Amino acid sequence: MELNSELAQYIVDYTAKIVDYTINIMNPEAIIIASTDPGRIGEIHRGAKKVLLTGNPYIISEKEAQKYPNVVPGISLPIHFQNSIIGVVGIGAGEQAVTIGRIIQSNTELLIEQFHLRESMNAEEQVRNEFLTHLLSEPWYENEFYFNHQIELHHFEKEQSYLVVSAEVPAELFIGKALNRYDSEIVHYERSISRLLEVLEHRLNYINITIVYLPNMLTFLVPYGTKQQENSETFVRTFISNLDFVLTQTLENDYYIGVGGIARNMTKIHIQYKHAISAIKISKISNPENRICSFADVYFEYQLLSIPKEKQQHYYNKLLGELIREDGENGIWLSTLEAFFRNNQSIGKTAEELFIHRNTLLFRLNRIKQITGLHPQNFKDAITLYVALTFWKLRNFENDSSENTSENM
Amino acid sequence: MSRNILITGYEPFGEDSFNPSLALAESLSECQYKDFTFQYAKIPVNRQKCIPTIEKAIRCYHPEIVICTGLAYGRAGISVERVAINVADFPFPDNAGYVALNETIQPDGAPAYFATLPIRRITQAIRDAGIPAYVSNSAGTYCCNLLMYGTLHYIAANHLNIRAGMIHVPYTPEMAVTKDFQMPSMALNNMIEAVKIAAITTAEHEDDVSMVCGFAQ
Repeated sequence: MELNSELAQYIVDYTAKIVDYTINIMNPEAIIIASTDPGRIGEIHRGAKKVLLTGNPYIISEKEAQKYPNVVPGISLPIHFQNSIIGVVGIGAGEQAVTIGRIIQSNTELLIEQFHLRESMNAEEQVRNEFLTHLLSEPWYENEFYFNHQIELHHFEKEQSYLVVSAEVPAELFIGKALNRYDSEIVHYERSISRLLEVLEHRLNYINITIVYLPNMLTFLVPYGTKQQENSETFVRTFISNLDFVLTQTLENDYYIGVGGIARNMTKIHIQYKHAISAIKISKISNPENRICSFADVYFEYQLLSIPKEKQQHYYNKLLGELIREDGENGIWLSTLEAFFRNNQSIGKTAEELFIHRNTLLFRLNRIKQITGLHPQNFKDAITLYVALTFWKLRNFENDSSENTSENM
Repeated sequence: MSRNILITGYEPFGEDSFNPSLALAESLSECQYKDFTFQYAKIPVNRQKCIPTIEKAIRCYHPEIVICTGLAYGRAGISVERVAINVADFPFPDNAGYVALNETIQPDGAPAYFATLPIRRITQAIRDAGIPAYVSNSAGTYCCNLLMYGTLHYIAANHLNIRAGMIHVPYTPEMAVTKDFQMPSMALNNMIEAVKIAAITTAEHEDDVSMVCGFAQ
């Protein structure tokens, strides 16, 4: 590890708050890189030179100090890090030099150790996060060597099955003032994320669960064993119910959950992640009231959305164009259709949801038939209308939404 | 999964921005005792949502011990509740503005359920730590009784091996100063310690003891 001037100056300032002596820190070339006297930075330190030669502390007596300008009686001691000397600390402490010097030396070494530990932990965490991000977003075969290496490095099992579930959370979740005045905004942001992940991990209480945070999206990788007593359906249902409870308790309702499905091994995680994201997107388009959506339930819409945009537009314009024109800004035809399909074409339930009489609803459905030539109560016509309606809602959603997530579909 | 102790606290009531029961449950969260881990749940002060929330929490955490906590202003110490009754009769509206009047909580439930925590041991252990505590014979008829009843009924109806009960805490000094300075109060740290002692005492002892633990209110 290299002792840079920034860290050295931090140590000097920190120590100077506790003891009132001149303190200098020198690099392995005996050049002063940090000091209580900023004017001395860049000078060669005589004591440090001796220490670096012998590896032992060097005491400058009062008599010797008088011989040179800018030299005060004191002690210079080596700074050890992992069995080598990475610098020298010099203390102008007069008669108490030996005792004080030892304390400051060990204090300096402790601070460096602590700094190193924090730095390596951060680095490890960063590498892990980067790997997890790739794991979610990239097909395995594109970078097989990298994935295999990372799996080993982070002690994952390639053949492990995972339930993949994502939750979209509000973008402003981590924006706020840092509680600790020493934290910068970015440090506060990072800390808030890792604190949230810790809390969720603790509260969910699933062994070896991995939670990945990408902006606005939490993704849960829950190990699923084939030897598990419960079948996969029960396992998924229980997890979703627990996740819903824990998120309600932690985030106060502001989230959407998308259930991707079970990835049979780690190479399939990115597929289920894509499905989870799609489930959230489709649910927001087709049924925004619904906070939980499983990919399996929106597979039909997912397939529809793979049709090129121009074709989608052409389709809904041809079938719904007249209806949309007659509807105006806040029209009733499309919302009636939406509610009718949402309620499985039940006249009673739809009328109840829309707070209208069933005869009013029947009138509206007939009017829709007159305009489009398609009767919503007829099975085949209903499919045609539903497909057109889905395309139209997708267009509106994409116009409203500033974020372009279409590549995730 | 680890062995869990679930501590619940209530969300702030009315215009309050603070409820000591939630604060204590939150601060105990993630604490460890031997192989037990503390989890917490925030319960809404709401006739309709209160019981479904505790049921979800029990299904989520599979706790072995559930200690519900709530604020009872006017009480001078920690009160360990003995019994919950099958009545919701609110003296004032809940957070949704609803006032339950002489309602039966569970039409098919028992008239009352006794706490299954070792309440006398708990009371004594809290006192031994220098914190005033007593056994209370009424959890009232507001949301705390509702929660205690709902918890014990859910456990009984589903034959779960969970011991559960309710502890009431007084105002904190900060609340007394701003709301009614003649009210008795207790520092939050003492409440946290008392509830932790209650959880540990329950974890350590299967049965309660017969002993005189003072005047039960």
